[in-house]
Amino acid sequence: MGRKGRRRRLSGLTIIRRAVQVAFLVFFVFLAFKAAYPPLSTPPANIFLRFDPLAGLFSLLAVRSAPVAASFWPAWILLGLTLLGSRFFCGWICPLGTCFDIAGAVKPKALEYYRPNGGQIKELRARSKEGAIPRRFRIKYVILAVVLALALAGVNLLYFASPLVIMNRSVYYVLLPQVPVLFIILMLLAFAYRPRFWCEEICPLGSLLGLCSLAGKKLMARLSPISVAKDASACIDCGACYRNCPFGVDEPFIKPESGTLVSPDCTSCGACVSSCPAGGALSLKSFGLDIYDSRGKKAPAGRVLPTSPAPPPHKGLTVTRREFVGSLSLGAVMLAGYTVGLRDLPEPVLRMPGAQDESAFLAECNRCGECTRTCPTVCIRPMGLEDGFQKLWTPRFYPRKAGCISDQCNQACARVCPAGAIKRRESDDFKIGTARVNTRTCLGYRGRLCLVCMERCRFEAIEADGLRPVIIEDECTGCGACENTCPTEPASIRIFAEGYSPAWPNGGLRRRGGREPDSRE
Amino acid sequence: MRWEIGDEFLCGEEGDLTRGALLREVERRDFVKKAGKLTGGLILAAYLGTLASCGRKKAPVVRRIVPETTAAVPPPGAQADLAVAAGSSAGEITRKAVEAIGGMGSFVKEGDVVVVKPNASFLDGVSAATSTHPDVVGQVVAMCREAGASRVIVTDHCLRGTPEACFGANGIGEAVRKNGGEVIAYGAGDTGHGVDAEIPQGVVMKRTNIYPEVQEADVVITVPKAKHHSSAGLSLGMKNFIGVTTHMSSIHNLDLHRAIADLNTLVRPALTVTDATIILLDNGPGGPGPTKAANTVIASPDIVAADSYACTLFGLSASDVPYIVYGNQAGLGEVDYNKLKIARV
Repeated sequence: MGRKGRRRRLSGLTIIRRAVQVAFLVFFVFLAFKAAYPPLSTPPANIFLRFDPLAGLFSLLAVRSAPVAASFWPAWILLGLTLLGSRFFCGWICPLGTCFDIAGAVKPKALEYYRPNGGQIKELRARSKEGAIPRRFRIKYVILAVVLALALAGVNLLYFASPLVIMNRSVYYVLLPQVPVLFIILMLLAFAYRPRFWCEEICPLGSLLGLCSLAGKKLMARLSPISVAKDASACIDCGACYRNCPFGVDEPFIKPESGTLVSPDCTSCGACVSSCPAGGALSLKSFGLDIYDSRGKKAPAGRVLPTSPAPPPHKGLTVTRREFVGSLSLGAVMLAGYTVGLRDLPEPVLRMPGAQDESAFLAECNRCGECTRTCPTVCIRPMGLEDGFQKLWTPRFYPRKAGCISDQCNQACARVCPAGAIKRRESDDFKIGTARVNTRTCLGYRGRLCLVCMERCRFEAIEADGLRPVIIEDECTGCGACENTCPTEPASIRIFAEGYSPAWPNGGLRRRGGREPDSRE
Repeated sequence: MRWEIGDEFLCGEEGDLTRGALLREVERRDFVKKAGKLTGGLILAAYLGTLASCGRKKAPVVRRIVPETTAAVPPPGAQADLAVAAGSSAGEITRKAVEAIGGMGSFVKEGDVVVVKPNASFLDGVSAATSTHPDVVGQVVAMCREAGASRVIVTDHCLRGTPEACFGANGIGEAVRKNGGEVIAYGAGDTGHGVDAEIPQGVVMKRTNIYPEVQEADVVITVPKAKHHSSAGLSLGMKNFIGVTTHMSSIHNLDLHRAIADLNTLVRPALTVTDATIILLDNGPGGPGPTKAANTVIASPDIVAADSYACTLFGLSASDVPYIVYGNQAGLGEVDYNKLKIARV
């Protein structure tokens, strides 16, 4: 077989679909850029993330707030359209899916994955007529069920489960810059197996959309904005559709009956239609009208790739006993690591204002990275595994890196949070924690001229006792301006979560109700 | 074809087993090769990316602002070395004071880029006396424009939040824009990048890092607020320059007064216009504290003399504020203002 035969020929429909996909990807990355402070307001910088029905469901299950669920209106519209048609989102819109397709397009020849050849296709067809091909067990529905059940229990796994969240975070990580580990793993999977391996076998959002489309498909085919239909009389049983489906949907070729495809995995991408050599056997329909159909092109003989020796055609995820035991033990390790950190954190983690209830925050936060992107001082950064999987990628406030200016940025993080995990404040007051002074290392307590912390404090929470800074607990918001600027290394003034007392000498804290109002003038 | 190796071992039941093992071995080898290529490619790409991003890193610029400047020289034709203007209108007395020492034209030439450094760090209005009076800054900017300055850049490192918030709250931003200046300031959200500079005359501080606007300016004018400072005693003209360095915090690890004097050997203002309209008497620099209406603006090409005179408004003398004394020792100006010609307008 020559090189020419290997070249992918693009049909008109494929070109249109690629253009739509790339447009959405570009829009997604554009929004990611524009989430930087000040975040874009029209369209809202987080609008794409609100297209995520899974995140919408999470907002119902975890946040349990009607306004937040209502803010997911694009997701509900998408769910409605999916109910009418297919999981077209995956094939046409999903930015992560587009990245997988790009990976597939640039995949080196040496890594080309297995596709059945003509002879195997015939054999499969014969076996399917005998009913010898069992239904594939799809693990992704189990994953979806587990993810939703855990959401009810207050465990938010959206950071592994939603392609939009993964993609959003990955874009931010590249901009930070940090390494988007999960994204790289998924792309390697796309290289090693099939481009759409994740979409087909794992993606909980895809499964949700697929189930949704399945529910409405038989009833409302005529209303569907986009769906694939088969004319059995024109079919020549060649199997081209099966070979070319990026999602491994075998229905148009295996199912003898005609009509709309009911497979929950069909994304209406049209790859089967454009590959079909039999005139009119497959068509893409919109609201019952043909928008594109196969026009009896020459059979794409060049596309048959005899690989020798051929492994059996893929059958979804099959697991050997060893793999099962392995995954169980890995799961056990992850479960153990869920709350146990890689290294013991000496003190509770600080969050931004509006996210003070840690357990509620962990249930609500999607780890999409929107807040870290928008923070004007970059005082919040995604966590690693230092406090276990439970807090992986959640935004942590690092006052040493920068102070929080929540009173001056109009709470940018709360404005962009798509999940409603960061509560908007009514007033200008906020409380992250309280500053404490390490009287052993503080320059002022050692008789040196400093008081930089007092200079920086815009809440009048630090008073000078001679050269020594003293903190007025009730005034302190924990904004971290003092810790950020402290000239000693490590900082001699630090923010600690409320109710946590560091093992520091004295603490330099004056417990009294602030200054009297008349002494301020 | 690939696994026709070692046929001699493949005989009988045991042979089948061996063959299976070989097959797996070959597959594994293939996989390892592929994975190796991929990883290699990724590492190479990452390495190239790092090269591309780091290759453009600029070498630090090291140069002095005004070379070999020692004692400040009053402009020729000036009536006085130090002007003290009193009155209730901050803008008016600023103009009077500068005119008494020869007018802005003797400091700013046609086409100069002027950097004006007020104290704009705080979020309070005029009455709190924490930031320079906006009218004083506005008037200085206006006079620079009248003298033909091509650009008047007002800069500071704001202590209490974003530059937008600080310059907005203390009114300096509006005053500057109204009079034809521009604000390039730093603070929370944008701490800026300075350029390295050596301090040859430095005693405790040999190197520092200052903002490029100050580095590149033709003329630097400092417009400090005269106020109490809890650690330095008083915050005046020399202390004001802590706001042009990115090392503004770590400077406190050194002897603060010496470091201020060292910094002033590097950054030499052509003119000091001290705002003492309302002065903060205690709990500085951020207040709130008792204030006093001194209704004074002090202008001088000699920053040490201006600071020394400003001390008297607080009932102190320069000997109470060591950095002024050190400044005098470094040859930055005359600490005994009585030796100078003072114009009171």
